[in-house]
Amino acid sequence: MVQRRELLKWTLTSASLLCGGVIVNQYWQSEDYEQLLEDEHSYGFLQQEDRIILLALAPVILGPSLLQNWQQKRVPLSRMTKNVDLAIGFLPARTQQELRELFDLLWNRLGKLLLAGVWASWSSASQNTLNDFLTGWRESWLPLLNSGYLGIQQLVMAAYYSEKPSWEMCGYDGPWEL
Amino acid sequence: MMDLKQHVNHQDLSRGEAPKVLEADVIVVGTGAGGGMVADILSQSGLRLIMLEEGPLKTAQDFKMKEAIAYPDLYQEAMARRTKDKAISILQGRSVGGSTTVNWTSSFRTPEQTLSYWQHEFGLTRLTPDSMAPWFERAEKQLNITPWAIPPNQNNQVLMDGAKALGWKAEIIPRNVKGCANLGYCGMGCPIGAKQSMLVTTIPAAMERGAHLYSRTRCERLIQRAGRIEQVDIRAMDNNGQPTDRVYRLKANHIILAGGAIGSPAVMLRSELEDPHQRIGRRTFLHPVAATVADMKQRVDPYSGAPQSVYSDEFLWRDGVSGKVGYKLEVPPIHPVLGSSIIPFHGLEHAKIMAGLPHMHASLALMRDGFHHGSVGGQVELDDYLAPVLDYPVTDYLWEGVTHAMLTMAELQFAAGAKRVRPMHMDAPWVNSWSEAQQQIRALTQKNIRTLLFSAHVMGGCGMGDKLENSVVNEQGRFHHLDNLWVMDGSILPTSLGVNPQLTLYALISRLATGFAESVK
Repeated sequence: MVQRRELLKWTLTSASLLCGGVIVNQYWQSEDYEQLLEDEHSYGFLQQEDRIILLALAPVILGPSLLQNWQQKRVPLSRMTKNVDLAIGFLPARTQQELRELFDLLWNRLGKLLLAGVWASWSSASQNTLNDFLTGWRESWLPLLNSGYLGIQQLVMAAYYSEKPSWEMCGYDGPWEL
Repeated sequence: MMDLKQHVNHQDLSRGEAPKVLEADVIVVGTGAGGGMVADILSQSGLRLIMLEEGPLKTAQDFKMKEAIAYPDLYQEAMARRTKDKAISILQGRSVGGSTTVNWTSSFRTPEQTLSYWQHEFGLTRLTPDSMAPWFERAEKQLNITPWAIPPNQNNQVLMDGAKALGWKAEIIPRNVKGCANLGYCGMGCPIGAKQSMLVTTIPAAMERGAHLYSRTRCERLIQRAGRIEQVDIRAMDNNGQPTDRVYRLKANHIILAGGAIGSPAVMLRSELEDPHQRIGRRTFLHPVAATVADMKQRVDPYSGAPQSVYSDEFLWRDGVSGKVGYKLEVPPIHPVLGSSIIPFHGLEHAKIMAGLPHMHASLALMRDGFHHGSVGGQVELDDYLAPVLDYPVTDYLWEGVTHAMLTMAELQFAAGAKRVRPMHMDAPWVNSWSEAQQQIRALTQKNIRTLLFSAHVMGGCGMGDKLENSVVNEQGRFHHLDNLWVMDGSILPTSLGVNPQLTLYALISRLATGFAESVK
């Protein structure tokens, strides 16, 4: 049931992207997030706040064609958060701690900062705002922010391209049958 | 054939049981190129061995040619290991067989220039090309190392074509394979056991001769008493490669560290050994790699076929042995997850580049670090959790090499018929010609993080030498300050090599292990 509702939201999101809508997450108001967050995977590292951040950023990081591909193949976006969580479980304690600090910064300090000026919350930010945020970190003169940008981007991309249904997006046929 | 995991002499300590054997003549810490050779030779001379491996024991039947499985199973830090300032991404193995389980099989003898530099700078007078030749021959025979006889895949052919068009040297790479099916998945563990890694050669042979192997077992600390290492504390790791709270104590007459150039110094640092000249963990080298990506007219399928079969040494000694940094040209295989991680964009831009994967070629320049005062390498440190981290500053000396190499690689790719080329740099979009590329690369600011740098070869940190002030071990591999502690792996190299390191280690460590076996008889 969760899956179907999730898929519905998913479809709506993709539809808005296809229609050229800038507000990716206009359908993902707080109650919709709650559905996306109902996930059978037992999360070891990611907290609910972290998953909201990733679910908000993923459409902008991945872009419309990648999103649409998973949606057509009925792969829920929660697969991405699950893969990110599993991957982080293999990282050493020091790196996990750095990621904890990164997610906390994004949720608390940055969240509040943005609340004051730019957007209301992660779950209702527009695609343009999120893109501006990512680009800001990417273009910053601070190596720390550059590396934060690459860290989030690589986590989401790896979680996406590690799944078989994604391989079509890069013309990869998959491994040999032995 | 029986799966090695079921061997009576193997225990996976993550499963909760205690190690059955607690005493041996020799404890070998690590099962990569160094540990594998040590175990093979010492077990032949009748010594009782315990081998420790921090990673899991995975065999051909576990190798599914899938990045999502291979990277967390077989690599340090799930392939996300980086230097302290995050400027360099380090690909290093962590399973039984170490990096030999996941390397791309390139096998080169140590360049004579490198051996000669060691002789003059570090007093390693015994390591002459002549005295090493029989050891290279021995390893080449043992591991079936021969130049790759099948035509190179398209990704390597681009390197050959570009070099030929420009009149540069380019040669076929010798590989350690037997019955290779040219699949292209060496980096995820060979699914048919064709790669002659330590996992399928020396380690099973040593176990047949009675050596014990504890997988998912970290060497925590060496306990010393009266000028000797008396005991070794080991810690069971869990299925995610994280330390558990189960610690056991082993005993042996000799300890041989072979945990790799980050792991071996880490054991020594955790053990707080005597180090009056602060040499442990210093002069750690990486062969830092800069790269450019090309969009070729033809299909390249960079994920298919033997990953490395062509190299060019045109620029390896471009300014002599100890002048400006020289570099070796090779190519990497590119599978989807790895490919996605080397495109520093998001959204549509990233998707467009990824969509071109079947036509994507990448060139690599492996820089020969450690031969100049502007390149003294990095320092292995311990973090708050006593895990190692490598502090490796990228110096101006190396940045000059990055710019030079990017120019070289872009020129080569356009000469091979590339439509577009893009240096691996956050500020470098596609350029359409060699002249545009020159303008772009000369104007690029090379900088930590913004320039994407990689390493697949970690060397040094417990360097060999004849003086206490410039080294950690002597020419036999023995630690300067204790009688029964030895290091026999890539960490004893006094500089980087200028070639992929596995064959150097097979030959050098066979020689040292043979010397050790004779000395303890």
